[in-house]
Amino acid sequence: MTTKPSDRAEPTGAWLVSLIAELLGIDKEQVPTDRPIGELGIDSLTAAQLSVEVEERTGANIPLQRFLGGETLAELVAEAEHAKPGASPAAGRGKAPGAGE
Amino acid sequence: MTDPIALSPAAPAAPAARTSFEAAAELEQILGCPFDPDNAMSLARGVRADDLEAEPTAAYEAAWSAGLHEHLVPVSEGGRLASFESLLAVVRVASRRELVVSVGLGSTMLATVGVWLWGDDAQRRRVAELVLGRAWGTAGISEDAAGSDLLATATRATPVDGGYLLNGKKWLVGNGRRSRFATVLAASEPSFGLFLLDFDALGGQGVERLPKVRTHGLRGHDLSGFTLENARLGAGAMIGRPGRGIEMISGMLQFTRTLIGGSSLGAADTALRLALRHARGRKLYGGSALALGPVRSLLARGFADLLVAECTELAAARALDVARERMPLWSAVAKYVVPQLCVDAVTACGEVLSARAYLREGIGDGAYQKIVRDIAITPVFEGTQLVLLDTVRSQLTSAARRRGGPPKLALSLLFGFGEPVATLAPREGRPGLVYGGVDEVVQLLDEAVAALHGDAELTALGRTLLAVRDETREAFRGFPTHRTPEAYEAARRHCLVHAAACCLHTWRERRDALGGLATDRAWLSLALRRVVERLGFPVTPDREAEDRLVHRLTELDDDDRAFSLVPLRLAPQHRESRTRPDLRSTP
Repeated sequence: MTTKPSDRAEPTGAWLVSLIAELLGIDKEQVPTDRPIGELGIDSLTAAQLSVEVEERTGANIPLQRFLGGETLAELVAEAEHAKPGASPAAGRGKAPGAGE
Repeated sequence: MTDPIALSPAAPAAPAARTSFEAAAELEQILGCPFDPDNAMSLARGVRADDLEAEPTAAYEAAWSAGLHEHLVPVSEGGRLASFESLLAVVRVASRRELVVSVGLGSTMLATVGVWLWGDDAQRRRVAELVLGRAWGTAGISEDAAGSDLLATATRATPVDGGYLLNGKKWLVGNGRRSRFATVLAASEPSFGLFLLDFDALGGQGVERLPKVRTHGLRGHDLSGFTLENARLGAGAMIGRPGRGIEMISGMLQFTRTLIGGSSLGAADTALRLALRHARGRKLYGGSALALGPVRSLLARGFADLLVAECTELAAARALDVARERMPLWSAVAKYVVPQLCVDAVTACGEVLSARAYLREGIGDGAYQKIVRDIAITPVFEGTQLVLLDTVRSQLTSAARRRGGPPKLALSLLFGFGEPVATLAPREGRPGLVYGGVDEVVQLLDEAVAALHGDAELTALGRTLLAVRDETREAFRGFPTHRTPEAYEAARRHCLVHAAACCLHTWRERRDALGGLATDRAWLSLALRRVVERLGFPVTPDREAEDRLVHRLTELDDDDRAFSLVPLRLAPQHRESRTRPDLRSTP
């Protein structure tokens, strides 16, 4: 993933919007936070990347299919933020696929 | 076995024994010639089992005795899988004899890869023990209503005290009836998960095996399924992290999709051998059929297709060893290109065999019709052609939106066919979701074409490939994220350019070390023509190259060598008596 460690202080909403915009090749302003995220036309590969990245950064497991559905980005961000305190992405048996070598 | 591959006179023979193909060369000799009907893994026995829709039990026994199954278990887990290039060569050896054997072991491989990659110590130890003990494994991924759409998976793993209860039906899965263990994809919390199921431990509780499905080819293979009804698994059954089942499957497929090309290549070798021998022995219009230009042209073009497939396949298998991060793209490209090219080669052989291609007896004991039916599955399973084009499309669309980077991987390493490499244990190089936007094979095509300077004809073919590459690259910058016919066509063209680039890199990086056929311009000339034709450009034939390639084929066959740029020494070839009825001059 292209997000840098220095981005980590950023609120979840901001970096997630940046990441979605980067993965879809659109401007950040074009990423709506209050409409169903499925409207963006995210494909399953991009959804999987987002899901893995959210888990790596916040410890929240938001399955890829939820990036394809009727929830808003604001709702997903709220869930990721909620999981953040005490989350330990490095825990568990093995890294998530796509987490890099 | 001091000379498992043919080396050029300039290259010393000694290092050959230490190539990645050593295990395959050894297996060749142990398994014996498939044309000898008395052999356990003979074409004749394979045809008989196929006629009866029966498992080729003698072939399985021979494969196990030769230790074929040990090559599915990584060295780090106590097996003999030292590199994926080496495994590829082993798969080719098995597949030139009996695809039912290699596909059965391939299904086991798919069931094990996730365990090697993400399994804990106990899971890896158990699965290694089972596979080394000759157990079959099954990958419980596919369902009746969920084929390529994994998100439609209905099988469910419900967390209960101390484990999981599994419910669902897995269908159209290899080894579904006979497997001792399964890797099962199931919906669970927080999302899809992957579960290791030990059928013996369940003691039959909650498991029902489904009947073998009747198929066009691979009739001896156990393609079937199983249902799970409150099958109880322990807490240690989950593989990897919770909720990452879909991502893990996509990673596992990078390995199996790459290796499937080995099955296609092995089967195509035998088809080509049957056709060549028939053409040599067949008298037509007062001479040998091989003396006829059109027959030579068919054989040469079929051989060229096989060689394009081989260059693509060898590079992909080595990439599993040395460039695993590229495999989200390259495994899909190889799976799209290699099986289909081999099917095309087999089809050309059918034209040479003519009426004999239709018979279930005679030449090679009627093996050709079986090969046609068996190989037909290779472009279909583990991702159909459309699924693979979609993977290539989504990888390239995703990469086009982001900055790529300069090439990092040395082509001399990627194309150093046969040179042993220190492969990563599976868990030390877990597969990624995206390839990262750097594709040395296609990005370095310019250098490979430039190296053809002085050869105007081949340079022109190379320039056509460069133009297609640039057009395709540009097209992907404008595609939307959803599936369009235009994006699929661009993905197809990308795959073909990749295949041709593999030929050019092989020519540039490895021909001198390989020697023999690899140094003969004729193969490259025909290989490039075969790809450029498929891209829709008119191509003038190179009859001289066709003749040379047919000459090479006969030399390789006479010398008991694989039809390959890396011509493995085959088991001494059993040759049918010329007086047998099937070789008489009959209509």
